[in-house]
Amino acid sequence: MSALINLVNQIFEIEQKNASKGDPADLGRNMERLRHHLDELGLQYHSPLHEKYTDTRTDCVASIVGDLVDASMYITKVIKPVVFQKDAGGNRTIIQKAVVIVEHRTV
Amino acid sequence: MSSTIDFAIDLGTTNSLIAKGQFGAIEVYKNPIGHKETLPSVVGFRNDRILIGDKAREYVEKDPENVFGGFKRKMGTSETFFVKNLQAQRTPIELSALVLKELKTFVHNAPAIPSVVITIPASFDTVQSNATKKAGYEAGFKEVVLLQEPIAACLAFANKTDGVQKQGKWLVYDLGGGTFDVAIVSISDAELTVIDHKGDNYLGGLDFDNLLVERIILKQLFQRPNLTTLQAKAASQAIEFKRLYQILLHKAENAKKELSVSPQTEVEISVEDDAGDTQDIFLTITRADFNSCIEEKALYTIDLIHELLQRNAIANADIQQVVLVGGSTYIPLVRELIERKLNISVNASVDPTTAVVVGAAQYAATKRVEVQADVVAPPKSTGTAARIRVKASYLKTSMDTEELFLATLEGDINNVHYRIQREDGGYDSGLKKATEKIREYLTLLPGQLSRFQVKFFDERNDPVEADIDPIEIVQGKYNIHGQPLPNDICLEVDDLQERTTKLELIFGKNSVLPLKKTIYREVSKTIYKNSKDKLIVSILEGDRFAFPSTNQVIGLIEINPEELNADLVKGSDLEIKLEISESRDINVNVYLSMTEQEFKNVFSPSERYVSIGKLEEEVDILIAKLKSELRQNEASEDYETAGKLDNYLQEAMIIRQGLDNLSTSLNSDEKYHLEERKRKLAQKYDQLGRFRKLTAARIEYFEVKNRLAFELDHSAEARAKYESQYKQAIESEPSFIASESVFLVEAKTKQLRIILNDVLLASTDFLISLYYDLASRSKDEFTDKQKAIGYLEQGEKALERQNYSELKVINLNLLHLLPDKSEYARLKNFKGTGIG
Repeated sequence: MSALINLVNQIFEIEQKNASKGDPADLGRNMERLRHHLDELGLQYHSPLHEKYTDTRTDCVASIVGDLVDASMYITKVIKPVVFQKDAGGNRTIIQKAVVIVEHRTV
Repeated sequence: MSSTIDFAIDLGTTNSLIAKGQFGAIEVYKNPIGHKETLPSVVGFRNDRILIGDKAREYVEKDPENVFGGFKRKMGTSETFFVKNLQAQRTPIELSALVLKELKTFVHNAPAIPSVVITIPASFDTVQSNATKKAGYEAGFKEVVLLQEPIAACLAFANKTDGVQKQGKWLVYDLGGGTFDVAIVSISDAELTVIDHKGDNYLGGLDFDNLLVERIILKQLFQRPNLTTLQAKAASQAIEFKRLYQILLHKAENAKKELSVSPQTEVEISVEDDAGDTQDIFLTITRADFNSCIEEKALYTIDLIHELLQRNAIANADIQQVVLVGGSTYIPLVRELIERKLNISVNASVDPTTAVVVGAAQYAATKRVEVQADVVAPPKSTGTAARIRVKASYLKTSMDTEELFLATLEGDINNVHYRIQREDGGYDSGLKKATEKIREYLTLLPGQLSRFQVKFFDERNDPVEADIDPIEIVQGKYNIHGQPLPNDICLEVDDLQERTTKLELIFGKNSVLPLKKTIYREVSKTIYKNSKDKLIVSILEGDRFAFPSTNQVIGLIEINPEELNADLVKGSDLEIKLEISESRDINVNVYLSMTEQEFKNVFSPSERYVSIGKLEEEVDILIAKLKSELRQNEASEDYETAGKLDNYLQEAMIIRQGLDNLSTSLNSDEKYHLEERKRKLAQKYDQLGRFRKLTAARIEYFEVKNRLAFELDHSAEARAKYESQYKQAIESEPSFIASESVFLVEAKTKQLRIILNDVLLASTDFLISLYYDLASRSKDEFTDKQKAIGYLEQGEKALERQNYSELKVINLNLLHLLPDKSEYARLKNFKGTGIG
């Protein structure tokens, strides 16, 4: 399983990199297909970028950078995504927590 | 209840673990929502929540007035921790007790843990040891037995390693995430004793990560000409640099792990250059680089060992082996230096991260319980009053990402805490004090059902009975904008073996519009540019379990060979994207990855689409099926069904004739008329005896399954080779047997029959009886009489020589000479859709 999770992390990284450069090689279709095949294997991943961060979020392992202002902490960088595994009934369980950077945001 | 203690806890300075030893097996428990065995020994009091472990560790630097780690070092002292949020003091014992209570929640297979072995450092004096015991009692254990960490580690190694002399002296080298300890342990058959120890409470793997970032990664980045502003940001500790530093720490940790197994690794860093553009930089780090930056620290640990040995007047040669404990001992340099500088062999045969708790659990499994546990309350049953009655209030559906949960508690809630956790592991309220009214914002999983468990705990963290069911909230689904689909929507694909087509479900009946899905298939036949073959993407609406020809075509894209950029090779990928809008417009997009071509069309539900070539083939298949079934019914003297089938056949012949005459017909609507007639006829045929066909298919399935199960039961060799295939084939049996699909049941039967044939062909008895069966047939039955006679002569000789592998080949050759009698075999020029 850890090899599969590593594979997901690599796909996520390629996706991030590709998106940040505007998909110059038209990889979007291939990325979508990879997601589809992972889904067939029961694996899904999610990037919590820009989502609110609170004490109760146990889907992320956070490094808090800068000031801690409880009501306005957001995920500003995702190093690894949350990886879920689906069982036969479609229920999801987290098998990898996201590794994220969390910062205080005023806006 | 077990008569031995069984449970053990490694209550570490940085991380803690819990394990159970019983019947010679050790189970190290995992955090139910963390998926790892270690729990950081950190406690946080964040507002009204108590956070323990990973979540608390995130805040340890940012909220030091409320979050505490490293309190193990203060055990047995009068030092306390002032918690700003509580405006109260907490002792190291209280904080340790919280960690111990949290570890109890890892244990999923024991109702209560009355007794436990807890490990302590060799350096702990009586006061510190008693403080640890007190923490154990505060955590609710009735009996606490202490065991020194080096002793526990030695037990784990002694029980694992064979061929090592278990007399004399061992050195326990424990280099963890944040601390280093070394101890000399005297081993004899009867006793393990710590002779002496030494350590450094501020040296561990985290230091190595920081060194790697500072001395190698940042140094290389700072040398780059277009990153001069980065150095300035580092100097001013700008927020961008702090963010980058955290990312680099993660990268360094991974690089460190990779360098334990590879001589070099590559680290990829995205960093903003002086012009403000993002640059992807690849840095190669060798093991030699890493070694050079940590060598000084590693040598320091060796110095401590020299001092320890000298202090006790023990020569290196008197030490039998060094056993390695702690995750940082994975680093090759650490192992090399110990061996080189001390000239003592190193034993790393036990996982160093769990060695202490494993050894302690082995000890616990042999240590008799002295104190009787409380009688554990039986599980809640209907009619039994729970200690806490809960009146819960919340919305079962929500469009928000968070939903408010309110509850009123009745009953004895003194010293009771509650905790709400989402079942996928993504939400944890932490421990909160129960009050008469509780309110909590629950974070929901987007677009699906979130299930939360609400649990109550007493002061010992043992569960308290409460009458509350799991909370279930659906997010983003309740507001149905569209309408449900009245029928299944399917894609027609080829079944080359049966020379027919079949339906693959895309959207099930009652799915709510709008809908969107991408399907990935392969091209099932090569389509040459100069051929007349077509690729047909046919989207059908109707019953997924019926024949394709009974369904209505609602979207059709025919790709003609002249439209292709190149020949479309069999096996190349095909992507079909299908979208159905709320107003039921169907958007079909077909992408051929080989030719990199895209074909798209929007179909309106009010129009009809007919491909004449496809219609002809459908009618041909229908005629073939009707003929085949008519013969079977006549043979079984079911004249009533045969009469109906005969009528259907006549009708099908008329439709076929109509299609043949289509080119001369003046009526442009004729093809729609013929398609309608064909569909109605196919529906009538499909309904005729559908139940009977389904029953027959199910009976056949169970016959083949039972035969295969019998063969596997009677041959260990076959079982070893084919059991997993068999189990996989029958895995979803309840769903396909309960389905209405004859095709699905037949496909599963076929799958089992292939396995059965493989099993049988491996059996000598079967090969012989099959051969005699084939030999007893009239030679005229074979398609090539002369070849059959030749094979039969070879078969006789193979039998004489008892060469059964040759007999197997002969049997297969003879079987191939028997004609395929199925009606579909006559559809030699089956064209299909081209989609496999």
